[in-house]
Amino acid sequence: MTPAGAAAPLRRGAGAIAVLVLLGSSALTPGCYTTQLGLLRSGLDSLRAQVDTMRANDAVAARLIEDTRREVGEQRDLVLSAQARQSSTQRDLADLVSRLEGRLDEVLSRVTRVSERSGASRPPVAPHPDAGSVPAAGGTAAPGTPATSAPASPSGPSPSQLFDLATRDLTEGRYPLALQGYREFLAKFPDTELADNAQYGVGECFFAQAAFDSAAAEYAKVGERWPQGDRAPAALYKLALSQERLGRSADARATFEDLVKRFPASSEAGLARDRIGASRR
Amino acid sequence: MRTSPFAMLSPWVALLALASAALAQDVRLDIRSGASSRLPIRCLPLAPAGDRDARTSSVQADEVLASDLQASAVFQVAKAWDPGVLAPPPAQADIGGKWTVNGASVRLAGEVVDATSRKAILTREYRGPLARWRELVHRFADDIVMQFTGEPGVASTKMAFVAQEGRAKELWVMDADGWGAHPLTADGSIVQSPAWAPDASLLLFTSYRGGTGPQLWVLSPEQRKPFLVSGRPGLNTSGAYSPDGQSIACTLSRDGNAEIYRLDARGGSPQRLTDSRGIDTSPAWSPTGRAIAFTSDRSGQPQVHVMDADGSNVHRLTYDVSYTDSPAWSPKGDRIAFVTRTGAGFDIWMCRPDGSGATPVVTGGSNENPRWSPDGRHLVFTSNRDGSRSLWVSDIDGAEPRKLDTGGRKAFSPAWSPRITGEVRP
Repeated sequence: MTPAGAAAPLRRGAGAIAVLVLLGSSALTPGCYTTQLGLLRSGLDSLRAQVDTMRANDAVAARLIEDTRREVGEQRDLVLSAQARQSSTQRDLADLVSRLEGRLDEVLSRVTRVSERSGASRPPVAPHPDAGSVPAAGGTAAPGTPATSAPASPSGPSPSQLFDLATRDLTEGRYPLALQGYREFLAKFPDTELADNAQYGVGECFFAQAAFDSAAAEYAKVGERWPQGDRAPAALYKLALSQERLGRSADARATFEDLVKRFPASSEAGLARDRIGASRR
Repeated sequence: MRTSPFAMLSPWVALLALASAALAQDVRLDIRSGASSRLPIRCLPLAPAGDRDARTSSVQADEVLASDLQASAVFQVAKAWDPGVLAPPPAQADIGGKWTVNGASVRLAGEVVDATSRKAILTREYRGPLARWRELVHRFADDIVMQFTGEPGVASTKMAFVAQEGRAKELWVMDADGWGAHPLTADGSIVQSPAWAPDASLLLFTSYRGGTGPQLWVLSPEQRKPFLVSGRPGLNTSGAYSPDGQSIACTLSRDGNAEIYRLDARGGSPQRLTDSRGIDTSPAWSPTGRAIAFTSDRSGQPQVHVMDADGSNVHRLTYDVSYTDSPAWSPKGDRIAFVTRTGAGFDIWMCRPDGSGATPVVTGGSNENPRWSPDGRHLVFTSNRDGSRSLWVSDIDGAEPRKLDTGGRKAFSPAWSPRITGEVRP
């Protein structure tokens, strides 16, 4: 312990002795002055203690307020910087996409020319059966080359090949190509097992591009043409979601309820119950 | 008139396009066949100028540039200052430039010269503080990849991961080449499964730091102060940002059973996506945001499933592989990587999003938590292939996996950042 630290309790002890002496002397010399003085002094002491406590509380509160203010400030900075970064990222992305599109067109045309020159029988990037010229892929939103598939038979691709190709285009974000693929499938193979899936795919292509009115119309066809098909619950669910996005909440509600009634055991019915519950709450 | 850089490189561009078309059909790792599709280039030493520091830093920059280009999986790099054992095939381009140090700043005047025509096909200047010279080199490397493939490289990206020291697991971040690893948390708690926001500004992670079980937190790597995203009763785990950054898919057990939920980016308005008696977890978004792959044990053992992002159309991904987990959707959307249980641990496999073409890509030891690089040319994963758990990168063209240096710490759960845009600022 430091000398100063040792001195403090000593000083406090001396003070206590002085008070005792004072109290003793007041008891020895009777008189109301001394008693009142003592009372006043103890009153003052308790007031001082209260003030000290309040001051300490104040300091704690001030620190809390300061901490909160700093946290709010930090949160705001975070949000602002996130916003700023987002907008600049979007700009950069737009630039990048347009640069990439230009580059892709250039590369594809060059590749086509090279393969023409070398007389290759196989095109360098297998085009979609219905995509027209290869560079059409450059116009779609997502980067990447069109999906390739196993070589088709001379009479054209098989139903499953055509369906798989369209589904791959859908999965990888080439929605116009996927839409073409599914439509071609429906035109060529309307009565095959995959036809309801292709019709559902048409709806998906519109839904993914936020064309909810077209999506709703296409999903509705799944339920009309294949009412007991395995795609029917999902199509009803997506129909209701499209209706929700179009602001037709009463229609959406009716579709969800129809789904729950007709396919109570489907997982989509579970989701629909959640939705109905949420709209009630 | 300026001639297009492609005019001189057209056969190579064609070859690359053909190679990538071929790759798209079968990405099975084959160590010997893979390296041959790389474009041979030669790195020349950067010519130092300016201060005395220029010599030292340029020598380091030479190595970093060569290593970036080799790691890009696009090039086969020959170093002019280090001929190596085997004679490399004739280079198609020479990479070089001038390295000028002026006090605390550095300037890199990079140049790519076509080996046949001896004409420059890329000249670009980069400036920045000397203390951050590596970033200039990474940018040049990414621009070179862009020049040859039409898509920038990933040398400027970051890697987040979980590092174990003692009993604590903290969130760490480092450059994609393993340089500059540093912790972002120091809670003495347990961090799991970090995930980047699509603009790389935020990291979402699971942490036990709140003391009431696993919660979802987010922090900005620069500010390092975590904010709570979801601290609902029960589990709040395995968060993943949607590609547009507007939503988070995660696992919550607030309704009793572990299910996948979709939250808004602030963690609010939860919407349940799955409804099964099994445990549903590890959601991974498709790059279009249309679908989500996840792990569910609804069929008895953990299996990767795929559903639409609104929860409809749930279907199991693969049927011929038992016990699958940790799905990761490739940035181009054409592949899903996942792990499958072997006797001793896990192998990494890959298949198409419809489940077809399932094939092993990383085997040997136990390999877990695969995550894609933003260009889809590499996978980073956790492995114990050389003893202790650490991070490894595998190029999907089949080069030997390489270990990332995490300072000897045990490392888990890597997350490769999206591309980081913007200039190097002091």
